[in-house]
Amino acid sequence: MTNKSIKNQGLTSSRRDLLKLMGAASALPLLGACSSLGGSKELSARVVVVGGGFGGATAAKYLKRSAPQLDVTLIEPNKVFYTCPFSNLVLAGMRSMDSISHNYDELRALGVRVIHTTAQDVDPVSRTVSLGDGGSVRYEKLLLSPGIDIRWNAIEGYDQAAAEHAPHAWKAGDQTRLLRRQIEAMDDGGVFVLTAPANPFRCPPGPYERASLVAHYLSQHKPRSKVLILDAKDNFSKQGLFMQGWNEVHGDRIEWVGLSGDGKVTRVDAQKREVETEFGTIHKASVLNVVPPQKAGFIADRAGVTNESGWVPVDPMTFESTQVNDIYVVGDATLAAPMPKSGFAANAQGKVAAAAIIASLEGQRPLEPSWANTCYSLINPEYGISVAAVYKIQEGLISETSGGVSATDASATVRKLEAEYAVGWYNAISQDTWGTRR
Amino acid sequence: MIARALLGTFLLILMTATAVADQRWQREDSVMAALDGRVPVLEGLALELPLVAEDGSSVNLAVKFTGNLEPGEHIQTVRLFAPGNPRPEVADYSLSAHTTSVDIATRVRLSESQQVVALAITSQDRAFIATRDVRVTVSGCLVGTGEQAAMTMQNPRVAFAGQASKGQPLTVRTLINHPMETGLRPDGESADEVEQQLVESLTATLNGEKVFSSRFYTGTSANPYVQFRIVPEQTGELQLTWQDQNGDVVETRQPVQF
Ligand SMILES: Cc1cc2nc3c(=O)[nH]c(=O)nc-3n(C[C@H](O)[C@H](O)[C@H](O)COP(=O)(O)OP(=O)(O)OC[C@H]3O[C@@H](n4cnc5c(N)ncnc54)[C@H](O)[C@@H]3O)c2cc1C
Repeated sequence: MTNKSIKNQGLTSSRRDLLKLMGAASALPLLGACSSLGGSKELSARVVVVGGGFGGATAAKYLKRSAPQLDVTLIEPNKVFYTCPFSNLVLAGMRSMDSISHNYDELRALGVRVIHTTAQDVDPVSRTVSLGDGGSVRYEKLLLSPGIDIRWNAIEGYDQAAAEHAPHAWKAGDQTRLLRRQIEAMDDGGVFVLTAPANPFRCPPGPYERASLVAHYLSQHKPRSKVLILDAKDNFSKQGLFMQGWNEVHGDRIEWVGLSGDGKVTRVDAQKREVETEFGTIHKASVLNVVPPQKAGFIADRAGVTNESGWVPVDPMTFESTQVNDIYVVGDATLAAPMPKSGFAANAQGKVAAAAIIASLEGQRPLEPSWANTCYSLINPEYGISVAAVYKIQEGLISETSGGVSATDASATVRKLEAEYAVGWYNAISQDTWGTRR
Repeated sequence: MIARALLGTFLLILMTATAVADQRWQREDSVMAALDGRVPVLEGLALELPLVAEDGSSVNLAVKFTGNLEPGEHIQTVRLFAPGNPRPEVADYSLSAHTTSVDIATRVRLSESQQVVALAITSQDRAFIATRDVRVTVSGCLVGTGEQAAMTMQNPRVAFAGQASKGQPLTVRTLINHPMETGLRPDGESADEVEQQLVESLTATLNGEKVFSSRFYTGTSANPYVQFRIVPEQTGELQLTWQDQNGDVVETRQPVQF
């Protein structure tokens, strides 16, 4: 890594400005769509992007916009992408699946070649990605944003077949629909059990927002029902705010059992909708939602960029793999802590990697990025809480330089405003990533 | 030419850096005192911790021994150190005679990124050492509840992973609720620290014979958790005794059946 940056000298001032703009764009997704980046007319390299989610779609878009001569190909099996953000609202009956769907029309219109298939393998020597449709594509630069895969059987009994009975719904789509149907079919008086994994995992506040919104739905449609969270951690994201919100809004409808209260689930019987904890307690569920342990999407393994943790170490300046040259990885698949595995972070990282790829192809040195992340969560439709942070590179590592959460004891008006900001955030990032306007 | 010279210097720095990195424990008084002049074997003991810990207040740690011992030699004690903490001691474990393989797991506190150290001392007074670098990323996402836990030991738990059978290693998990106040945490109200309150020890006996014990220090997480192995030769009862620094005792029992 070091001699590479020694090699790359000479930084034009326009490049500096351009990257500054991208840095700003990552902090303000709304502006991102308007920033135009020129000056790369000579570039005609082939860049392949795997995954059309938050990280990949953003990267493909910013690559093509910034350097229109680039040959950009996006590999993504699904024609319609459903976001995990706001899928908890679908579970609670507050939104339709349609309202969280996005497509690749904007990317096509920009000139990105979109191939709807799965990337099966990567050969970093011949720089070839082999595809599920039997074809293959070559690259000069490869960007992976494959999101997560489930670690099947990390919890005894939780495999792919089990997920048909006890959905995870941690990738949005059919799993979301299945869990929604189960919640709707649940008897009044039943227990919705959600099991939450240890760190790191996709969307640290996600399980607790889900518990909140399912409780909201139950309060209106099945008022004698309860929500039980069995957690493999003692501390979780925005814990103080969630617990305060649960107290204020949901009373004792939501019960949370942490690691040291025997909340860690070690065995699942999906057919019986039953779980067993570390110290042998059996819990029976009416609806069982297992949020299982996770790892980087399998293509990262194939490309040789994961380490023993199952995630991908990257150079924080560029999001290039520290293990394989010319493969960049962004989003949930990476080890970017303290940045969370969020859509917001994936989008911001996608921009940084796009800029770094262009800089590298132009023989320029990448500029030091910084990021901002805001995560909103809903306690109910009128009660929002958030966490925001700014990240910079310090001593070669991503560090949180400032940050904070919503005030505890804020007024109902403030909570309601935060719930509205959450919708604004969703619309802005959808437009920035897929060009969706609603 | 210049580039080559630069690269040369770079490599040199890199090599010295790793050489020094591997033996950082030599500069830790706590580790050197525990070694007490023994020169540790660098292979055989393994320390498992995540590369990155997102919550330093409870980090999973496992220590395993798979090295070579002399005939009749066994591991007597395993000691854990977190030299980057204000106080480096984490825990000491005493194993029964006959222990030739070690598989202990616990949850530790790491106040910052650091190299964690494990030592194993054998019946022939030999030492094995293992180290592991952990990056602790303190995340603002984690906001406590501000709730105060009771200062006494509560809810002792014990379970076996799997079915016991004669002469076969059996994994025991145990946990007790207790805040493990380090005595270093500032008290919100006053200028002082919250008074230290620690669980001091855990002793495991199988049919009256001591098979495992552990001594806890400030580096062990709140709600101390220990996982260890026993090798039951007959059915009976495993008794676990927890003792806090005030001498209060809590006991729990688990039948061992084949
Ligand atoms: C319930 C829930 C709520 C959430 N709420 C929020 C929120 O409010 N705010 C927020 O910022 N984040 C939220 N998140 C997190 C967010 O969904 C993820 O962080 C984000 O999706 C990560 O983006 P990504 O690009 O890494 O992965 P993804 O968005 O999952 O995209 C990965 C894409 O890659 C494709 N893919 C995978 N493997 C291959 C392959 N081999 N070949 C081709 N394509 C492949 C997949 O089909 C997928 O389309 C939430 C998550 C959950 C589960």
